[in-house]
Amino acid sequence: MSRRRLFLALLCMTVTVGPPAGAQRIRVVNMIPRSLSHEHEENSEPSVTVNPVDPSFVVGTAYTIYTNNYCDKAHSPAFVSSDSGETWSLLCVLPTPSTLLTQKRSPALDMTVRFSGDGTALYAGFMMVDQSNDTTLLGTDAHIVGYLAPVPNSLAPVFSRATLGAGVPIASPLLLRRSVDQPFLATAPNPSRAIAIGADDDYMLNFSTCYSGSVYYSLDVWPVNGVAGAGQINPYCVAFRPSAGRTPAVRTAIASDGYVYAVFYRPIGNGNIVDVVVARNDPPILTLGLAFQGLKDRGSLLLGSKSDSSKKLGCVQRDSLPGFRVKPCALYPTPTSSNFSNFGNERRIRSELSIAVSPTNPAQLYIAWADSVPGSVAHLTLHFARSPDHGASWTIVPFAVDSATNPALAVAADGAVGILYQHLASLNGEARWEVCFALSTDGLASRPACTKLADTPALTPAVEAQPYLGDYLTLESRGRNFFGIFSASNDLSHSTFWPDFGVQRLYGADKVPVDLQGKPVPISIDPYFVRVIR
Amino acid sequence: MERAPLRMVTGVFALVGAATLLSCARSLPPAAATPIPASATPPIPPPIPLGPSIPDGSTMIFLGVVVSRDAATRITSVRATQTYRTPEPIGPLDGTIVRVVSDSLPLNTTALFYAAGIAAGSQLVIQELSSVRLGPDETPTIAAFVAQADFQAANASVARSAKNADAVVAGVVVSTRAIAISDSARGRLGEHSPLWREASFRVTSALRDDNRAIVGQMLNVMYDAGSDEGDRESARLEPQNSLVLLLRWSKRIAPNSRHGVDVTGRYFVFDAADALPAKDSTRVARLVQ
Repeated sequence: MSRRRLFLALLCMTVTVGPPAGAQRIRVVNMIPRSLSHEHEENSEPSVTVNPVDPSFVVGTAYTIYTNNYCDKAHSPAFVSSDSGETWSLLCVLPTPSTLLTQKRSPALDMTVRFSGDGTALYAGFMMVDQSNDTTLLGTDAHIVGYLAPVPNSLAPVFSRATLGAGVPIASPLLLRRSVDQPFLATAPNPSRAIAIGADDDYMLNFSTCYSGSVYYSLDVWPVNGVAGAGQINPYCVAFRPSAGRTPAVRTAIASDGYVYAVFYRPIGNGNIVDVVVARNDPPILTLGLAFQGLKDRGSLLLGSKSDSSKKLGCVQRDSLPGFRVKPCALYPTPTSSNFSNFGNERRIRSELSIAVSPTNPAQLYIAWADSVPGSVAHLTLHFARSPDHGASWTIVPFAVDSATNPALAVAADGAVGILYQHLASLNGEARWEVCFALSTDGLASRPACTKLADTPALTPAVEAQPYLGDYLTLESRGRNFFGIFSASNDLSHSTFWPDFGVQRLYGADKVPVDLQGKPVPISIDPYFVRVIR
Repeated sequence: MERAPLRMVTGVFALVGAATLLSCARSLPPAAATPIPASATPPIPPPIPLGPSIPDGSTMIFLGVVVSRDAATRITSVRATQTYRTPEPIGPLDGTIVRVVSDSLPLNTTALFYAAGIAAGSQLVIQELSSVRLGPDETPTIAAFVAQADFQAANASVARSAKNADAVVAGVVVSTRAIAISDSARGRLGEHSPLWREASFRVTSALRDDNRAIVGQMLNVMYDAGSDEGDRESARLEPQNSLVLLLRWSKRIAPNSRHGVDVTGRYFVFDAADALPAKDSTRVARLVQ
């Protein structure tokens, strides 16, 4: 075992699991509704958002590949709760653009949802893979749809599209862009309708001045009398530095003072080395060519090898280009196409990123990323860094989480930092996925304890397709509280969940899922809502 | 016997094209995703008018009895008695109460419902697309009616796809292999890009007259072997498979889905519905002529 791995292993041994810290009250709820008890698909890659004005109104998304067939072709489903996440319904509400109605396409994939900071708009971002043999396209179409002023009280007791909007426009797509991947949404912490969408964007990709990493940004997509206008939201490149390929994923954060941040991996070398880069847009600059160039890679020399190969990759000194390299030249497993069992059935596609800004101190930033251990193609290790000055300088925190993925960060109104992630553990030789919520009240100066929300088998159910658990999960703060979502096995007979646990789908006496007729249903991956009240 | 007129709902539910086939195919579990029914003689249409056709977008077809009605919300509670079509995640409805947004049907009426989902909570809430009142002696014919409609939709889909194909042939997969892609090209591919492999496919017969010249040839056929959800319904070719393939020239693939792949002289097949069992060759030949 290398010294680094030994160090990480010792660090992991210090993680506490079990009872909640302090006075926080945690609730975990399986979001599959009772009437969908027959379903047994991979509800992976989840996202959730809580209305900041009425926190009882919660909307979530996940891969619902076959459940899509329940809805008509014009709509895709989202999970909706009007009681703070206690009970959930699946609503066929996300509209398919008319141009795609007649095409053969995948269901909605890579979905994220966010309420605007003022609570008057709900945004959903998703993409559909064009599967038309006859159009030569075989590309991806990303959609941003929006809902104006959703009325929570109208959701109960009868759920329908007609009652979701209740007197306000039902969503129409605000943006339809071909070949945009992972449209990942962020909204502002203050009362506004600003939205920043990170994307791997073919539209911006030219391999000379932009390497696909982009942010679609708008202060308000409904600026005039509530009329939506796609022209109000524009793409801006964030990945200017020459790369070994496209930018796999971009995560964004909007600060209350108008700064917009993006964190992304920059692939270099053969693609198994990455820089972790933070870009910043300084208000009010939103001119193409100037946007997201607020941070330059300047400062002290970089640490690490002085070998010729390192020099060639730019790992030795800073390059003054836009985008600050918080972690240059980190190792990353070569994205694999078939071997998933060596990491709990999860693929690794360089999407394990998160960024969060304090809602009360907009200069205070946190990021999380994953890299790998030398000599191991399987492992991912989570790292964290903080900046006190709008990203001008960064400190990598002195702890890491070995064998983990899908970090999600959020900062509460009192400055506490919430971390949600999935940790690959081993119990008597069996691979297990543990879901951890960690709360830091010292700005990540010390390692926060893991409060274990779930402990499930990692290799069952078998993989049907990727993503298995997801390429990401999400966490959001509202006041002092945190709201998150994760995907995990629903096999209660071989799993342990947080003691305050709710479930709607039906189970038999042996703790395996059953359908409405009481017949056993194969175990599968379900989405779980997390509520942390402090 | 009294029979209510067929009530059709238009608007957002009036979808076009191959929606019925697509819905049917995608409602199947992955292991049985081939949307083409067996090539046996199609069932005989039922003697009663269950509708001119199954309404487009009917993700659910079931028989049920109206047990209550709420005139204010137009919600009718229906106890399902026999399920003919539901998406896989829903499963059979038999014995359950389904809430149907519908024009009113009298209490205790037995009807065949064509519907699509609106919501799923403690109960399902669905939109009626049409309904037909039925007597108990008519129910045995419904399954045949649905199967016949699915069969016709599948045939229409094959005919449509074949019309735009560059070759429609029967033959045998001799071997398969990976297609080498340089690291630089790989970096241009995204997570949802197809993961192309190549098969050597020996053509034994042409099902379209304009393809007779390639009978006996060995074709290079690209197919998608990716593991991403976006690849789930792609055709998977295995050595020794005897298949009917609806082929396109690979140069028709968009560049951003084939970075680093030489498409010269290669065909591709993407959709599982375009790789049919050899036993369907007679049926396909009839459809494409």
